[in-house]
Amino acid sequence: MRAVDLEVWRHLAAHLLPRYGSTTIALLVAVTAATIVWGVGCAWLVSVYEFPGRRALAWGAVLPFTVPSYIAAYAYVDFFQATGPAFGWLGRVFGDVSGLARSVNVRSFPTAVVVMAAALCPYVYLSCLAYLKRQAPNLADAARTLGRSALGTFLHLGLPLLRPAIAAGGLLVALEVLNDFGTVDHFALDTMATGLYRVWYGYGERDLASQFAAIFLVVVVAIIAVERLLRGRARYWATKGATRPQRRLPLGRVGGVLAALFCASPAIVGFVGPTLILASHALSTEITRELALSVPIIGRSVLLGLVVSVSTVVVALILTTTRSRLPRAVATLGYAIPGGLVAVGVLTAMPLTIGMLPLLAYALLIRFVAIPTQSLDAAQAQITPSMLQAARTLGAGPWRSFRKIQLSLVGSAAMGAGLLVFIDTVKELPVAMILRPFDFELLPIRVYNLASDERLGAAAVGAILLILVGVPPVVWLHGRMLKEPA
Amino acid sequence: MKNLFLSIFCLTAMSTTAVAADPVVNVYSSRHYDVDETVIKAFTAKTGIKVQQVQVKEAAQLVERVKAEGAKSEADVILTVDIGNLWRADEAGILAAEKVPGADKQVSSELRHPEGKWYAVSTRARVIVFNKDKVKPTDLKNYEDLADPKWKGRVLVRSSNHVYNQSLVASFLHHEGAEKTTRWVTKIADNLARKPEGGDTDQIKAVAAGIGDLALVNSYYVARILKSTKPEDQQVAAKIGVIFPNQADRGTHVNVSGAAIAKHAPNKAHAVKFVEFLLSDEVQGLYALENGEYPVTKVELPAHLKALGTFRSDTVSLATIGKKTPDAVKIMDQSSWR
Repeated sequence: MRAVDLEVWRHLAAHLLPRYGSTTIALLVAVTAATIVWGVGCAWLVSVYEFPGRRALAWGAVLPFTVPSYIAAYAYVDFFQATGPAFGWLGRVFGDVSGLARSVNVRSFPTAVVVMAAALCPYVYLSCLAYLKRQAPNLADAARTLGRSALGTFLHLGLPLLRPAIAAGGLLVALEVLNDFGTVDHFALDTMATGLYRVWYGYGERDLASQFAAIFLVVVVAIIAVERLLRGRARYWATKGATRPQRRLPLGRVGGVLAALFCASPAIVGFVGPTLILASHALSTEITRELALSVPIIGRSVLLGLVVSVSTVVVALILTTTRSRLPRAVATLGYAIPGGLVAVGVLTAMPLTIGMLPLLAYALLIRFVAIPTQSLDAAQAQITPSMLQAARTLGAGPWRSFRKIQLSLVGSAAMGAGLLVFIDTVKELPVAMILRPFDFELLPIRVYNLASDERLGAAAVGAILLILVGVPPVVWLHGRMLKEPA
Repeated sequence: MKNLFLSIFCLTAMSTTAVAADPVVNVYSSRHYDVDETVIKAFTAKTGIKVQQVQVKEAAQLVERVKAEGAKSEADVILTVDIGNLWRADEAGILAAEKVPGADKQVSSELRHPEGKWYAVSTRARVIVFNKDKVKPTDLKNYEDLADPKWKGRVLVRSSNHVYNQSLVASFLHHEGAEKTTRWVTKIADNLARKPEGGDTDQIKAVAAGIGDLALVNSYYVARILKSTKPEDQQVAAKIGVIFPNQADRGTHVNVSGAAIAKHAPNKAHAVKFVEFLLSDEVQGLYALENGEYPVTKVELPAHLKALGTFRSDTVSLATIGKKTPDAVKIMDQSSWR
């Protein structure tokens, strides 16, 4: 790498970094906070209470995970921009609304926060749900015996208990926000990620972009520090009574409706909305032509997703058996840096003779290994001393008891993380764009090329297919999580 | 289970690299238009040479890939949009000096590298679109006029992150110098109707919707709307007019889409044929008709491009603009033209 050019950095510090830095921090805080409110709220409500539609809403809250946030961004901006259909309909009903249309700007910080938070809240939701599955019955009992109000139970029992789960999910959300380019670019926000690409393309300096990545490292270390702080030293272990059938607290009519609305909101904003907007576009385009181009390439994404998810889990298993924190931090960095730079880094650092497809799989591994590392780390922290003692008392040797417990707990975490990586790989854009073999078209690339070329109509069919590919794994993931014994 | 997947994976990998007997040409492209598929099919039909493609939308990334692949790179032809990108590819040392037969006669000299390192295959002009209800076509003539305080709150443009704006400002920098360019950029930023957002089509639609009165956009986006059969596009088309700036002096800034032959091209002869084909009347006509790009050779323009009018273009060398782009970006960094 070339030496650091102080003059350029002085220019950046004077004109760009303050704006990029403050927008990035504001977005990190706002999106992470919003995902926590949404994710924790939904997980708490569906675990502790009984209300109409609870079961459906419980898995509906995972659905936004299937919609890449840049696609949601394209859909919403198209629909709500001043020249879009929303104001068009309003205009037909209420007459001239052009003044209103001009004053409401969909490409803004608040809309970006809502769209990104909806897309990312399943991370927090799922990790909290896993914790609550074991604890919810006890909590309900505790609430009853202590005579606490609903809010009191949540604040005094739920929230402290969920701290590690919130930290684990929130970490992934924060890193996603940090590396995101497509969504923030479409909402016309300037973050560190868009800045990295500006100096890379605009100044024509790849090295400068790599130096930019050093700033990402600092931010990642800060985020991990916050996560550690949140997680604290506390370890919360499920006690004996946890595995008996759950008895949820019934909610009154008003409470039930409010709970249902709240739990439906992530799915509405993050899944139903974008899908409907895309569907309306798809209907006005040549569907059969687009289907003919998009359907044959689905298999490829699925295969790539399987290979990457299996290999990330294997690598994460190795990483988490060591005590050292360093591999974990490095693994996390791959998830925090914009994919374009990861891809080019792999291109420069690796021998190309291994072939482009293995190289692509390797780059995606670097990109996503943080996900299983994170959840395996958390799962191993759940293995309680009493479990090992129990196994020993029952006559199992130390190795066998370790393996049995390890396999059941870690295995289920690995499965969940693998599925997340699978869906992420299927949606992934920049790495695959740069590192593909000849004529290796993938669904997200096709969709992005069309959408960013201002042809959302043609992109819509592929986008819907892309979303549909993610639905079965998400439903399966959620089903597994609720069914398996604790 | 894992082994099964790995072996399937390896098989797919091999099937894509081990295409042996058929004559092929490998095209690395950052163009992203439907017309390119038509062109590739026509080339194979005509020559029997199969086209294998890698599409990377950001040319800078494409250049990094070819650079990293080095002498083993399978790239034969490199297609880019924008001047700056061609210049950077040349700077990176990944282009071969290769004369394409007939090209020197067909393509005027500012649209090709003197040693044949690249050839423009189409051009697009950065034009000013105006709202016919609010602006008279005589109200402004030059890029400079966009800085006039009378347009305060009326100008629309996409982000300065985009290479189309970076190249335009680089050309301004070349002609007018740093001081004037800084003033021009700052004043345009003061005149903006809204924070830069969206793409060129978004600006055109915003002009038609009255969000602003003037917009800086590429000509083929205008052509696309003029040609569209969708009623909402036709409404937009009816409301807008087009100005080709600086006709009395240096000419309108044009950008190119270009083709180059890679330094280590394994199928050089096929690559030459491919570029030759891109410059043929057939493809030049297709670019114009299907994608609204201006041909670089003398072929008849389709009606919707003729309707836009003829113009004189700025003939500053592409290399100059490429070189000036980083400075142009730094000037824009200092303004609120995000």
